Amino acid sequence: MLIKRVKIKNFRQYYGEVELNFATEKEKNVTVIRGENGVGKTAILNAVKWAFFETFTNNFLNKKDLVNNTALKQGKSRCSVEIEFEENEKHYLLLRDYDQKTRKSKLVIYPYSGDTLGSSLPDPTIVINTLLPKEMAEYFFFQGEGSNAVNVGNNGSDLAKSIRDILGFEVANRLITDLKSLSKNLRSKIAELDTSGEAKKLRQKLDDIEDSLSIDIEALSGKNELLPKLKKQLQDVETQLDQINNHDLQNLKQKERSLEREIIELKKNIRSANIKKVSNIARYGWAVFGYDFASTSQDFIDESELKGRLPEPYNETFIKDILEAKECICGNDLASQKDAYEKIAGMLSQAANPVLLQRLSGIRAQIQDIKTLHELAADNIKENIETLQQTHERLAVKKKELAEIVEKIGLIPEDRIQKLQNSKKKLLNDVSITDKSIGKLEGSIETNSALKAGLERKLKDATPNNDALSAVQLKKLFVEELAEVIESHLGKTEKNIRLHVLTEVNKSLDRFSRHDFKIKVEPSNFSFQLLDKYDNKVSQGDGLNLLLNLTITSSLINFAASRRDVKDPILSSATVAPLLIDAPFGVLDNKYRNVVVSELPKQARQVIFLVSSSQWSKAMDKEIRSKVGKEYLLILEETSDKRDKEIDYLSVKGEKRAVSRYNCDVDRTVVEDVT
Amino acid sequence: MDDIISELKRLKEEHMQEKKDDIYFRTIEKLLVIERQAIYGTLSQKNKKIELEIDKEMKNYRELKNVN
Repeated sequence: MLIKRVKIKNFRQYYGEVELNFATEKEKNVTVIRGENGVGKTAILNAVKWAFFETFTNNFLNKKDLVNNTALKQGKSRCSVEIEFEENEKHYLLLRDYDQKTRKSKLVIYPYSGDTLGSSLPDPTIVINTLLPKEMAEYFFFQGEGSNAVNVGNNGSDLAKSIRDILGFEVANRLITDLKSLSKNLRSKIAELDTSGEAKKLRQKLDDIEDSLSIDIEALSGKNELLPKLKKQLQDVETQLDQINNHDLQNLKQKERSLEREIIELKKNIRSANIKKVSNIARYGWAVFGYDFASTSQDFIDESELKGRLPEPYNETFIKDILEAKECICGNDLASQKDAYEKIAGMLSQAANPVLLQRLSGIRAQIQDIKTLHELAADNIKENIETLQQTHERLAVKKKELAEIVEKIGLIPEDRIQKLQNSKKKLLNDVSITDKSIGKLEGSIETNSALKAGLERKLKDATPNNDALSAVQLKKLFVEELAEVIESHLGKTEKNIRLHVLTEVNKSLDRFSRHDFKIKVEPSNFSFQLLDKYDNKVSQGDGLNLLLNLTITSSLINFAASRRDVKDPILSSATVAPLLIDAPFGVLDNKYRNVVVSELPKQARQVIFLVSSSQWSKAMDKEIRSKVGKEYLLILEETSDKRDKEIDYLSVKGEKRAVSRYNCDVDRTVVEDVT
Repeated sequence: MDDIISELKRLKEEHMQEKKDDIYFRTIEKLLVIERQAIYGTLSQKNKKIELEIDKEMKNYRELKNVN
């Protein structure tokens, strides 16, 4: 496919009509569209993508607001993109129109010859899909700067389908369906013509078996399409689970549980220590608080003892002995001195008796107890305080460890893992069921095919010699054989395609990449996997991803080129779309940029680069200049005053060109042909 | 003599295969043109046209089968 012309009307930055003619000559097949950021390069890419497929690049925001703001203010709610393209020497005009009020778009394709437009094609979407399937478009119309670079490895089954589509599998499959439908009609006709009893019975049986075969074949085809999809989904889920690293989560969870148990134990220890603290207060509190009093009491007793005041200086027995002897220790006769006798007798009331002595001894013992308990209290309380302090410290450490673990767990999307594991379980089950169904269906088809062959032989013998009937039977056989030939051809071609694309992808990879990488194509689903020289999977960053995208695109172009001379009676040559890349070199380093800019135009039939000044070097310009057939500048026009804003300039063939203008009539982007 | 007979047999088989392929692929090509016209153009009565093309080849097919 060659895009000859694109006309954009009131689409995003483009007010009114803007027209771009693309380079289509073989020797000069490159169109360069240059503009600074925000001027409308991505809008051009998206205008083309939207016109063909009604899709946009990922970074194209507000996808429903397509109409230019100035046009909207003027009451114009429609925008459109018109693309004139050529395919297989036939010319088409595609028109996509959008009404922002109703948010509805319309696609029409007209074939045309000279200046005469034909009637619009009945199903434009199918036409586009057979020329360039939507999935395949991701490899041809894309944004280089990360946001829309195709993620190699995720597009397996879509890419396989796309390749089948551009080779015309869709058309061939439609023919198979039509032939099968015709065969069914012929079967009914045969039944009408065949009036013999035995043959009729056999035919009825044959009809039943054919019906059953047809159902089984359709079901098998569905299951065979489903199985690689399921396997791909399973592979994706397993990859996602690997990326999350489920093993880490299990370890963290185990640590979390262990820490939670330790924390519970430590809290229990703190509670016990606190209980002990209370019990220490109960047990030793009075000794602690009474210690000073006890010490004072003991000092008092000791002092009193020392001074002879305690115990009482007079012993009761001693006084009684004096009174009985009626003689004082000083020798005075007490019998004659009544006053002295009564004085001494009066001392009896205060004299120390055994009971008092016992009490004093008791007090001493109590004081000693208080002192002993006080010493014990010091040890116990100190130990208790230390225990509490250490346990609190350990608790704080464990709590911190737990918080760290919880934070780490929080970073792992646990719900997602659970969901992925559930998906994996379901997908494993689905794969197993589908596998079994395929086996069962294959067995049933084999049995019924053998039965059918047997019945057909019997039927041939039993059918009366009727010319009309024989003719219809022969026609039915021919129709069925035609369908079989197509089916077998498609099957063989598909195997060859896979091998061919794989070879091409690895050849392109050698050309583009400095690393010793290779690409493996999964036979079941046609997905790509980048491997290093030791066959380990390679993780892809933006730069490598873009490079791989370009590699696959380049391989598809080469594959299509290799089909150009193949005389295939059923399938067409692969169609390849122009390569339309916005910011193609943003994430590539200089060496890759120069390789890519020189290689792509050699391989692709038509290349359109949308570049800003930062993406376009003198070296690149020199590399590609001889291939440039058309060159445009995107110029920003603003209604506002220039004030202190700088005018942007771009260098075109050594000449400095202004790409921003102020005090203009309308805010818009205009296109200037600088070829 | 056996060699000659076997070579003639091989040539005949080759010729038959070619003839068979010719009939099948020629017919399929014509039918695909009809399918493509239906998709890319405005072809009406597609099924009828498919059947007509098959009918046109029936003579050759009958011949092929009779030879067999």
